[in-house]
Amino acid sequence: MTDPPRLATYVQPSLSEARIQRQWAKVNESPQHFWSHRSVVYSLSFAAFNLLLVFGYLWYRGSAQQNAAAEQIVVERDGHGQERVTLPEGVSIVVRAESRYRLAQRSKQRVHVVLDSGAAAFDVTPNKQRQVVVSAAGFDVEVVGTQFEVSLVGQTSKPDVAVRVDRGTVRVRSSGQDHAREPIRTLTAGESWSTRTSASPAEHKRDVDADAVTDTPSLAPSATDGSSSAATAATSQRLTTAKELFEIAQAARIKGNAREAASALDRLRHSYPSDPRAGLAAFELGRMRMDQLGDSGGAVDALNDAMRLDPSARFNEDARARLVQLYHGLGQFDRCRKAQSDYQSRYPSGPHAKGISGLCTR
Amino acid sequence: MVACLSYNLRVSASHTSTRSGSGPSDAALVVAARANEAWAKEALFRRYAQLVNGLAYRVIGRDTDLDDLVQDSFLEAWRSLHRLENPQVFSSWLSAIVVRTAHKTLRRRRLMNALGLRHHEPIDLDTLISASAPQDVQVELRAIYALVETLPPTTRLALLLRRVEGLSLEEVAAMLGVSLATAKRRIAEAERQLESMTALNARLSTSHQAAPPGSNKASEGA
Repeated sequence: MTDPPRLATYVQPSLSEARIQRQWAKVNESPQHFWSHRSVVYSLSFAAFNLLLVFGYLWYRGSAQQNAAAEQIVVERDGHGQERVTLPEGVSIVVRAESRYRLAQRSKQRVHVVLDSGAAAFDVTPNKQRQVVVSAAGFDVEVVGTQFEVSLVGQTSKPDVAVRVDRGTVRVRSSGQDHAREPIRTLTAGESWSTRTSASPAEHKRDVDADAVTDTPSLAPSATDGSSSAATAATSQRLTTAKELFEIAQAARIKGNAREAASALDRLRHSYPSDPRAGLAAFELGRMRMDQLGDSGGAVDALNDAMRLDPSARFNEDARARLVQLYHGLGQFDRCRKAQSDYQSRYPSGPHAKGISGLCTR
Repeated sequence: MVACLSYNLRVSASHTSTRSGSGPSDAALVVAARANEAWAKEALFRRYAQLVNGLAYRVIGRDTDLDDLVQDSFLEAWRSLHRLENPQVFSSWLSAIVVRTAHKTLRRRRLMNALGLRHHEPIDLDTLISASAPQDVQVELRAIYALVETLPPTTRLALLLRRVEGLSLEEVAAMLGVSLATAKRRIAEAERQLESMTALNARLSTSHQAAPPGSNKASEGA
């Protein structure tokens, strides 16, 4: 036991007295409290590094959440109870007053809106990575990237579903139908479909066959305002008063939004035919279609309606003169001549008598 | 700690000159050092400086970190002096502190190497091993230090304490603060690797010597 370890003897550091003195000086001078110890310093450095990592992560997460918050749903409500919902996924929904809808699913891959009652217009930015589906009364409207409107008409337990496409394409399926199978209908711009008319699923071009969607209220402010407007509000649910519709039209006209104004007037004349403003609304609609919207067919319809709704109104003279001009423009010379003679017999010295006298000939 | 007693006696034998009959005993110095007497601490330091330097040098295998390790070990000793129950075994208790501090240093060095924050420096065997060592001792030490660089810190320390310091298994277990079975397992594992490496070196050496002069030259040329 007195012999030193054999191998250890040959592994010795060079230890001079100066080195030992230096070591002692370092030991003696080192503050011996807790914080001075090197391992503690290392541990604290390690802890500080970890803290930095944690703070970095929290900062990153915070900024990510801020970004996410910036992409929240935006809901705007106008003075008429109409609600515009803008989703960051590129979906804009205009929900009519007294309508009810749910966002059943919302992710980057899929947006699923369920319409429980009323009507809503959708404007969807095309995106192949994201599917947008609107469900209403057992039907799914699968959106490809479009502007369209879905309405539930009738207060019964099984209301009719009406879909009108203004732009792009939608596919209509029964809810739960396998998406690999053919849809019930594929609707493109200008087409509409309703469960009421689906028994004979002919296409209903808006500008051609207005009667096909007579129960569909018009909602989209920027929707094409063709003669189909007659259909969009004929027996629509009375969600807005005649006064409100008239004010909407006035406001839109002041703003220069002819389409929105026309839409409101159209709904007014169809929804409230007995209202004193109905005739004037129809006449104003006819003028706008003729002068601003370039919709001669729709203008004829509106002006005839105006005269029917308010036969004694002063604007009838102007309406009759305009009808002559419209029929002439449409090349419907028989109708043109009939309207011309009607005007001349009623207003032989009317302000437009001279102007229309040369019309109705090829 | 009891197992360290024999090591305490063995290492203290080399320090008999510092513990003259007229000087105070370790126990007396420890008691004075606990009272924060600077002279007592210095006396203990000077008495055990060579022991601590030697042990630290052998377990870490290089001179560069030696001063830091010695400093840390003594500072740790001063800090935990109040926990030393038997001041008579100060030297073995201090040795255990050196081993623990070396273990931390080795682990930290390993982590720094893994993170790429520190450049790995291989042990300079020519500097480490005394030139006066017999040939067989040199061969054995070279093999051991070549192997320990590849071992985990605990296994490395177990092997060095067992083979270089010449401690018993019980002493190694006590120094490392592990059970006897764990110490045995680690030493056995290191010994097995050491044998494999020694056998491989011997085989290579034999084949090298047996190779014809031409082929040897060719390989040198390559």
